[in-house]
Amino acid sequence: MNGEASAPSAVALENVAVRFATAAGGVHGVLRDISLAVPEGVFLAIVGPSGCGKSTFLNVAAGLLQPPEGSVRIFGEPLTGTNRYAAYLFQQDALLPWRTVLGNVMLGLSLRGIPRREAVAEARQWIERVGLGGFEDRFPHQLSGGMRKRAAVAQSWIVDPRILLMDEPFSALDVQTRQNMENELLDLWQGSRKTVLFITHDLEEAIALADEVVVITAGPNATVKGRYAVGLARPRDVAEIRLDPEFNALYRQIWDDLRVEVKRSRNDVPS
Amino acid sequence: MSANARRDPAPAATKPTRSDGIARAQGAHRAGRAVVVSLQIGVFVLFVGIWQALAAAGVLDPFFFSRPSAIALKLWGWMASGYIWPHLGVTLLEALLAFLIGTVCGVIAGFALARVELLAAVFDPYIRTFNALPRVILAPIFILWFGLGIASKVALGVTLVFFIVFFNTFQGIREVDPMIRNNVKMLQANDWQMVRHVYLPSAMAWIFSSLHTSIGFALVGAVVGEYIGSARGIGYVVAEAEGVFDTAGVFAGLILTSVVVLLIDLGIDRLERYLLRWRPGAE
Ligand SMILES: Nc1ncnc2c1ncn2[C@@H]1O[C@H](COP(=O)(O)OP(=O)(O)O)[C@@H](O)[C@H]1O
Ligand SMILES: [Mg+2]
Repeated sequence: MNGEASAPSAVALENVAVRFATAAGGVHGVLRDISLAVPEGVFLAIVGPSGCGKSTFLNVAAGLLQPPEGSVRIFGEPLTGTNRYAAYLFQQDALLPWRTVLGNVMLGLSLRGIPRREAVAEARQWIERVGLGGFEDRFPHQLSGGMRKRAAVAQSWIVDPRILLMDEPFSALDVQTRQNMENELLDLWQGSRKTVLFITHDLEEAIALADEVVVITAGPNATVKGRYAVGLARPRDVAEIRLDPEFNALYRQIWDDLRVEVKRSRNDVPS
Repeated sequence: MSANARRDPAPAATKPTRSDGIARAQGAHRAGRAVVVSLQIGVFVLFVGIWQALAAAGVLDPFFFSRPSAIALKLWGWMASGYIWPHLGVTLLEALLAFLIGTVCGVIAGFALARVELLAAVFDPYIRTFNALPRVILAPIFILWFGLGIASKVALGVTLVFFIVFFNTFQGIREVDPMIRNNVKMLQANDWQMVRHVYLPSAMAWIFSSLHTSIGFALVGAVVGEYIGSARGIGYVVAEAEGVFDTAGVFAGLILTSVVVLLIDLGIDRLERYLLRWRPGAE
């Protein structure tokens, strides 16, 4: 984006628009004119009202969805096919139900042709690291929602991706589990130089975790409304940081922006 | 196939469920088991007893209805003399071949049509028509084409098994959760790896839960084919007995077939429970 001298952004979207054909034969514009550059190593949170197109945005960055308009660059290269630098943590359960925890966690390594013995050893370490030791041989349906999420975290981190795409990963968890997992995520990420795009509709979660918060307008035709730097010191504890006066000042500032959009999306008849 | 198949699933495609389709509360299973088995035996004894009594009293004409004791004697005679084993062996071989060939073809066709939209669109009407055809009327044609040996019976069984496996494979692949598909794609699976790790396992769940039906149909194809024209097999034994008005022999043949199906079913139950143990409620 900016000159050749500086390192290319990990993820750079330029004038991206996404539309879907409606059943009635019309066109439903979801995103328009999205330009966003994310430097490497940054933890970026993206907030916006429900249904505004956050998952769609992430799918574009993942290469799962080719935007009809605009360009996507990953570390300076135009993105074609799926984004091979990125791992994706989905909002809903995406573990393979016919594989055990071990089988799920090691999948990414197996697909890359890493010998089974090595893959198993590494998967065991990751299972230990996310606190699932002893559950290697369980199938997903034998785990709680939180445990499944932990397995999914291990599954996406084991391939050591340079970019992590996370789509409201903890929104279905109870508050306690959620705060634990947020803290563990920060521990994992700390010092990893990984670039994170973290989608949420919860502004508190966004500020507690991120270096930067991007606000997206309500749909249809959602676009970037504002971008805020979060200067809070690290390492952070997501429960305690909410008491920080700086946190509250920031919250109020961003909420001013977001509130309008949330209101707009509520007034809109859901399309 | 595309839109149609999704809106109105083919009759042969059954949503995978527990094999017995009965939900049980924890513990209810163990406590009730003995009672159920004794009641099942009771029903059997009662039915056979009434049949025997009515035949003895002359209410049921033994010429048309035979009697349980005569059927039991017949079965015993067949087994003791060794007469029945080669026939049973032929029937089982035909059923096995029909099952294997039908399954392989069904999986390949199901896969191709589920993955290639154009193929599905082109073949949709043909598959529907052929599936609606009562397969028994093909038996004489197959005998003309493939002769009186086992090939014509296998062919008949294949036409029955194929569609069950085909529809279940098709559905299994179409119903793959897009989230899982995207997840494995993001883990950088290539096309072949997608097939191996996502589409096949998903289709397998559907195919396994239709095993009871497809194996049963493989056996039906064999027996019906033999009945219509052959020199060996259980169907032939039944046809022979019928030809000499040996009602006991007809019933003995039917009962033998049922017992074989039952035994195979029990085996499949165990296999299914093991292979589909990853499914919720499978325990
Ligand atoms: N594949 C699709 N086809 C048609 N419309 C879609 C598709 N995916 C998403 N949409 C629409 O795009 C909008 C944004 O969806 P999404 O990105 O899931 O929102 P969010 O994640 O912010 O809740 C919604 O109105 C949704 O109906
Ligand atoms: Mg979403």
